[in-house]
Amino acid sequence: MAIVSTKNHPRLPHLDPRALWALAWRGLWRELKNGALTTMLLALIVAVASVTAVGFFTDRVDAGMRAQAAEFLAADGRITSPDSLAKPLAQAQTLGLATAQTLQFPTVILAGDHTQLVSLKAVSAGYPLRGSLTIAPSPQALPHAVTQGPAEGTVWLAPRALALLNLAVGDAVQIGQKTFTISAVLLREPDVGNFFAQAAPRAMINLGDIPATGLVTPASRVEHALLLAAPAAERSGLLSALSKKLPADLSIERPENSQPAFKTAFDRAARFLGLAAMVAVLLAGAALLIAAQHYNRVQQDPAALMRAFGAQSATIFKLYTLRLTLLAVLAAIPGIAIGALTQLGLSALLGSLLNFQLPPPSWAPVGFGVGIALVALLGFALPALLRLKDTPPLRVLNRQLAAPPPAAALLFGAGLAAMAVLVWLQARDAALTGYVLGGLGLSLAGFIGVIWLLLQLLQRYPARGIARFGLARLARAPWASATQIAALALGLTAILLLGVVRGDLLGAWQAQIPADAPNFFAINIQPDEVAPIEALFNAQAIHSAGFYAMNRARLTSVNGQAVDANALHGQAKSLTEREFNLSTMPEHLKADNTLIEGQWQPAHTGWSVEQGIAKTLHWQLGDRLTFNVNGAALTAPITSLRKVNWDSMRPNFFVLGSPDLLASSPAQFVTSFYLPEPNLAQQKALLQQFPTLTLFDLSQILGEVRTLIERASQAVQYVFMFTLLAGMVVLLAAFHASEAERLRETAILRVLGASHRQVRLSLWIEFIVLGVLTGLLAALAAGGLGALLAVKLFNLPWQFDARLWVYGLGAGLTLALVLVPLLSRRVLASPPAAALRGG
Amino acid sequence: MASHNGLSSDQQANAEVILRAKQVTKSVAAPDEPGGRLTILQTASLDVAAGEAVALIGASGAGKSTLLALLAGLDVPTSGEITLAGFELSQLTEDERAAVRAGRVGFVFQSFQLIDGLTALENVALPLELHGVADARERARAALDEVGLSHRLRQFPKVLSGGEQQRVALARAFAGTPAILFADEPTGSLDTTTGERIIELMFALRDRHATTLVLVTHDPALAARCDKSYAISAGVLQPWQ
Ligand SMILES: Nc1ncnc2c1ncn2[C@@H]1O[C@H](COP(=O)(O)OP(=O)(O)OP(=O)(O)O)[C@@H](O)[C@H]1O
Ligand SMILES: [Mg+2]
Repeated sequence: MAIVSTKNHPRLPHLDPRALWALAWRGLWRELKNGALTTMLLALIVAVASVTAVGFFTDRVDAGMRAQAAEFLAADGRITSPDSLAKPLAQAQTLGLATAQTLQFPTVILAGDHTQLVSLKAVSAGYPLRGSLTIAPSPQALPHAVTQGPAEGTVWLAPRALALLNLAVGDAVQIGQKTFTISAVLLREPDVGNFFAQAAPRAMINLGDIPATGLVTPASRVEHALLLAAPAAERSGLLSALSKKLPADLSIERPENSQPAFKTAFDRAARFLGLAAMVAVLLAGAALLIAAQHYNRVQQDPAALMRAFGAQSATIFKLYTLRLTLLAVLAAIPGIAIGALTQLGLSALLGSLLNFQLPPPSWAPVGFGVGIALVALLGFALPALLRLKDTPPLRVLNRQLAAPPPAAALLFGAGLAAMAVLVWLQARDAALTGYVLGGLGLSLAGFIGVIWLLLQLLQRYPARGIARFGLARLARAPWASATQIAALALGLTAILLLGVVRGDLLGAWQAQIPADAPNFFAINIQPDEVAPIEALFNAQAIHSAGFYAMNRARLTSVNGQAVDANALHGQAKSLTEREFNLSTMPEHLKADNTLIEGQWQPAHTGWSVEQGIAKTLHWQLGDRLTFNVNGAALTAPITSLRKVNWDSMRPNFFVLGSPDLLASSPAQFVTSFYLPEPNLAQQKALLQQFPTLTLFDLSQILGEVRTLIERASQAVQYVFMFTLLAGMVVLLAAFHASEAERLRETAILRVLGASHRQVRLSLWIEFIVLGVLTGLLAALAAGGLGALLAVKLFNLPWQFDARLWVYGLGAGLTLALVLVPLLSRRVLASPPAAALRGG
Repeated sequence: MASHNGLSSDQQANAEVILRAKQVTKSVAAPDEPGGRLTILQTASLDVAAGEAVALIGASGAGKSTLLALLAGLDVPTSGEITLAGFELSQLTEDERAAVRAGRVGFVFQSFQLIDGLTALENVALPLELHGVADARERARAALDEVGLSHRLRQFPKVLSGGEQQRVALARAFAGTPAILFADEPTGSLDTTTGERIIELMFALRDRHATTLVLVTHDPALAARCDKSYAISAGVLQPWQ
């Protein structure tokens, strides 16, 4: 019926939400069936799967590592004091914290007419609250783990003590006034503690035996420790509740900051995992970017038709947004399932390698998975589709007309915003997020710029013959080609970064603790002992880090102002209260020190200060420090600030004085050295010859750090598999995006009489150019980003790795090698007319 | 001028005029042309009464599709007025023009314009679903039945012959029982016999549904089947007999 009316404007129809919902569902279902959304679905599934697998896994590794860090304290928290901790113990018990106590002091063991200085540790029931002790029935027997200390009346001795005393398990020894039976060899304890305190080999007894030994009186110098533990959920709450009740001079030590060497390692491990996880997600983002642009092209006709049929642009907008949101939610389900399964399988696989028990995963990664899918979609896919609503309906009559391309600023902005969110969610690390985003954003902009320029040049200087056709395809749509190549290059950058740079970074890290890193420290070396010990080292071919003079000193004033430790707090307070170990400036700065500020001039009177302590105590270059060394007040300005690599396991000092300052003060010397296998005979010889010398065994800590590095590498390796998977989806996206267009264009070529060989040649030329460009750009970007990450984030030295070029080009050419045969098979399989029909 | 013809019957036929073009001109920017603009259509006027079949005939490049697009509100004229179903289209926004088309206008194109990814049934149901028609699928099935394709509901366009594809397009156009059908050379991609069958089918459906038809063609015989014909030549519209 004709409706002739006088009203000027029609009422805009409003599609009711149920109809819209149904339409979106049906559209989604159809396109899932007919494959239009397959690539995006796969990209989303891989993104969600990798993120959740990584999420689940890092969640568990994180918790596991934290638990292992807790083992270094044998607790979740520890309070140490020279005085009795009876009051905090009662308070902790009232709060419901699990507790254990230890008491530690040096004493002498008697065995027949042998005596041996040991570091005695008495432990209460419950010790260790975290981790375990490793003991053995004899030094040669198989060790096993136990979670409680020795029974009353028995003692466990370190192998070194047994050797020194020539004793065996079962023998009796006397400690103070009580006789003990040696019931086991103590091989490892979780809380080795400050190794400077452990001058002598360990002997461990039950705390209940202490009164009977008569060794501890109120005047004795002993170290009390109160160990605390609580279930994860209540841990922070309980510990901070207790912390508030403690007197000002007591504080709770937490696992994360108990071992500087371990903490550095722990931090780096977490960063590596974060980096690896993030790269997989960004790759999926690149795949989405390509797939969405392709989807946008494919959807122009349906969008134009819908407009011609009278659909409102808002309806089209809602339809696509809803359809993709549903897709994200749909992808999250298998994604999370795959993530959870992969995580299970790989945790089982890695569980045997990791020597700590992985705690069960939390539910957090599930919500996280859905969130990631939505963020990835919103950031990488939706912007490309936003303008579909503006497709001119006239397109149904004129195929040249298309929806206006999405604003570059929007694509970029949304992509970067999504990256920021994803990277932040993965890494939870502002610095890492900043560097990666800044780096990737700049690379992406650079990629697009460079490619766009190159393509412009290509257009201006066309090649001859069939080659021209291949190149023209790239040049015809420079913006689309540029974004596609950029997305591919970005993906490849991520893979290179993880594949090559990871190895280099881990290598550089491992190199910092080489196999022959000093594993023993010796202190209290008298000046007249230096020469004979050096001679002994030379005779035994023991490699030492050199001998360093050390003066004990007390800080008395800064810039003429007397130092009052009580006016300070926290770390600053304990640093100033403690005695400083001063050493003399060597002529040249040591290799593990870096000059940060000032001049290295040992000839000038002055102090050189480590930058960290300078920052804590608010010292600046030029500040005049006065130290009391053996009664003499030494005053001089700070002439330089240094950065110290504490991982080097060589003696290092917070404060170094110029030789003229310290020359007249009597010093003792320290050294560190490497013994291939803890060699008891050599130790014995050393110990017997130089009675004042005190030796520290670092091999246990070194071993722990090394193990951690290895574990981190394995975990990163594992995460890398997801990255490769995501890379394959990028490839698939590129294939699908290319396919339809190539199909049409080669059909035209063939109609014009091109042979199969020529069609194939044109594809080879196009994709080799594309691959080489992608590979080179990716190598360049990965090199730059690697340098940035190494230097700024991991504090590791960095050199550009030539392999990046090789792998980059190799991967780029592989792209061509994989895509071209696939494409030419598809393109040449159907008769050209079929491809042209309906065009 | 052709416009006189259209306007002369204006007064009496007013109630029945469903589509009217008045002095419609379309020009596009063309840097190579003198004056920088190329006129594709010049002061074209026509009236289409409800239920009428009108043919637009002309050689390739004459401007037939351009006029059709303007009449259907797919594009806006540079000057002049087009009234469709009582709405003056150039006064309307793109979305309002879409609202005018919604449920009133059907299309058949030379290149079928079926969506590759949808089955025959889904293609036919899509416009109905877009307008929130509750029984879209049933109506689509009925429409496909009408064009004799009830056995090919689940086929994708790619596996259908050209004639079958155009029949799906006809089903899609008529399923919404439009007041007016715009057909742009519906037989242009088909061989003669198939083309004839499609035309027969189209006219039969039009008769059954009492649909107004605006048909673009270059075939004088086909134009002769219509109630009224206009010829376009180099952008100028004239009545044709
Ligand atoms: N946007 C445009 N820009 C420039 N020229 C145009 C544009 N649209 C149409 N033309 C030109 O206007 C003329 C008419 O085009 P139109 O598509 O209306 O012709 P037609 O009669 O439908 O031809 P055919 O039978 O080949 O489909 C042609 O010469 C065409 O090239
Ligand atoms: Mg035409």
